[in-house]
Amino acid sequence: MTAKREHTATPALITACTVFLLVAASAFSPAYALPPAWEEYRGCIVGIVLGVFVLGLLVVVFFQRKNEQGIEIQHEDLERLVRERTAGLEAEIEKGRIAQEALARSEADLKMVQEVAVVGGWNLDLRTSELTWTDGVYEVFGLPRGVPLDYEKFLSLVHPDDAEYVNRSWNDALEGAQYDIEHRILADGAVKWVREKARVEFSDSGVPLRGSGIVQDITRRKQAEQERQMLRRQLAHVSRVTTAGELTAALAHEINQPLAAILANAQAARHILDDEKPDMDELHAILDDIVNDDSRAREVIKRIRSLLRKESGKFDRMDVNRVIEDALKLVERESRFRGVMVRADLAEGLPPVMGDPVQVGQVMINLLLNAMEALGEVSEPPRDVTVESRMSGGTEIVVSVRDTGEGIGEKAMRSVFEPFYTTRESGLGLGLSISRSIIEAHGGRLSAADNPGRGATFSFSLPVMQRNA
Amino acid sequence: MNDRPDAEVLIIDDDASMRKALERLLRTMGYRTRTFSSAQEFLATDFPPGSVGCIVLDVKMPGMSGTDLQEELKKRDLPFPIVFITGHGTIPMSVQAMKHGAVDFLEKPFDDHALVQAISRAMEKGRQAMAFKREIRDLEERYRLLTPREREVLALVVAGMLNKQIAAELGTSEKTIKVHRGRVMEKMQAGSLADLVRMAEKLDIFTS
Repeated sequence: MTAKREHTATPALITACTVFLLVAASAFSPAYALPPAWEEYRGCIVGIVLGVFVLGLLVVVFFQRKNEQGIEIQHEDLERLVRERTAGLEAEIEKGRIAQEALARSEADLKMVQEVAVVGGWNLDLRTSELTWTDGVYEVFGLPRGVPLDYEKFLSLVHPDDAEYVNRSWNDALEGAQYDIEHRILADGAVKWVREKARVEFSDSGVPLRGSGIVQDITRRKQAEQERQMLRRQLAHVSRVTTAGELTAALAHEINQPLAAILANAQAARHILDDEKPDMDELHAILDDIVNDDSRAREVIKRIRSLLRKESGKFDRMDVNRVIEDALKLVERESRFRGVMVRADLAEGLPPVMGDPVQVGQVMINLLLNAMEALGEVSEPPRDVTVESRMSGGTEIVVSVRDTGEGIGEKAMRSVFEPFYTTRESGLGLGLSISRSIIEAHGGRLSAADNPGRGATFSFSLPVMQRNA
Repeated sequence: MNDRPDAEVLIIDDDASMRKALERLLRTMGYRTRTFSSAQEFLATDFPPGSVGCIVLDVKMPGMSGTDLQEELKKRDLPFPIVFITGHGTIPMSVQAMKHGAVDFLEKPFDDHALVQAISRAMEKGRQAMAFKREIRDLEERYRLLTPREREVLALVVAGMLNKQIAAELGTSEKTIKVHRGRVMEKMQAGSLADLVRMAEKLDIFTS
């Protein structure tokens, strides 16, 4: 670029010089008349003019040279700047490209998410009752696009069992409450789960104007959740059956005892009937005893059944002390065989909790058997297990099972709740991990700690039912 | 059912209902019974010497188990024969109990005939044990009457030595030995040499 500039400057200079020389030459040619006083100095004047011109030319060339050097430097600076700017720009462009790619990716992701998650949006003009859906919502509800819509139409698509809940939630939202709910819908006769989240816009005077929200198909998540729930229940059942297996000897004894008594009584009755004058009073007493022993055996069988039955999975009002007492009855014989003293210190008047008595009973039995097991190696008294229930903080019931065994120890404390951890020869090592998951499913916690003195304490909490729930 | 009237069946079971049913059954079959709710209660009871009877014992009881009681009775030299009853008789437990002299092992629920047979056998065994014990006691009583010299003579006689040999052994005359020997037979109430040998056997006083 520098050379080019030089070449463009030079012809202009030459042209200027030529013109000047021509003018000068013609001016000072003999044909050009000078004032007569100067005529004799014509040669001298021409020489001076030419000298000045040459000097001026030299000065011009010098300065131009100098100027060109400065321009060159400026030019280099400019070029450097341009280079730098270009490089920066390229980086910017690269950044932009990356951002654009990321955007494209996230758009693709979003599309995929929308496809997979099946999300849609809606708008409800509360003044005109006009409801509009995006294609996604039509897809979720399995309706052809363009079907005329209003709130009533939407409500008719909600699962009948959930319609009241949805309607109530929406009315609450119109009063300013949060609208973020999960419910079932009937799409083409199939039951689907959706999650809805919406916002209501209000006028300055607080009149609801417009509602807008999103609908997401969460059927698959719900199915996975239910499947997990079912697996957990099955595992808990397996664990209960195992527990029942551990109690078999004691339970068999407990059933056998009344059966043996019944047989002995019946045979005694037969001997009495062989007498010439049978003792009728004694026969009555015998029959009474037989009836009592029969119901005793039936009680035991009922308890075993309750342990082996598959729970409904539905939570109901539950009396914690009652669950504890039932569990104590189940392990009573076992504790006598093991020579363990089991004490119960249950607080009176505890409020009900929401839960499944079969599952919580299972936790109780697990904890009781573990406590007795902990006393297996301990020979010096006391060989005690103490069960306690009490209210804590007004919001939860705490149940603890304390033993006077050797304690858990710091090392084992970390693993006791892990599945398949066991110190017993028999047993799956699932009891405590299942117990913990059961208690957590009830909204409580199960924890273990060594006692200050001897042994360990396992405690769990269960939230009490809210009064208005 | 025609066991001796002074023979009692001693029922030890922690289960009140079982205890009552057993007692009733045995009574209707002509037995005299006494019941105890635990091994400890049984051990705390004084039995007059020479008491006869048999124990019907539940193996699994809280506190002191049936087999524990069996051992304790042996230690205290109480010769009651034992019929064990159990809800879940395991083989090792039965073997152990039988080794320690249990007469029978009945699994609950059991038939009254099986129970009667077991009790009869136990009573019989108890009577034998009692008779044997009484005989030994008698023999020991008689043996205590012997002088040291007569005991020496007795030991050598039952060892099969002749009077002459005994005299040489003890450095005395054959005539003296004959007198000692006559006294031994008389004090021990032995009718013959064979009798005397049997008695010595029971008293475990063989020297050779």
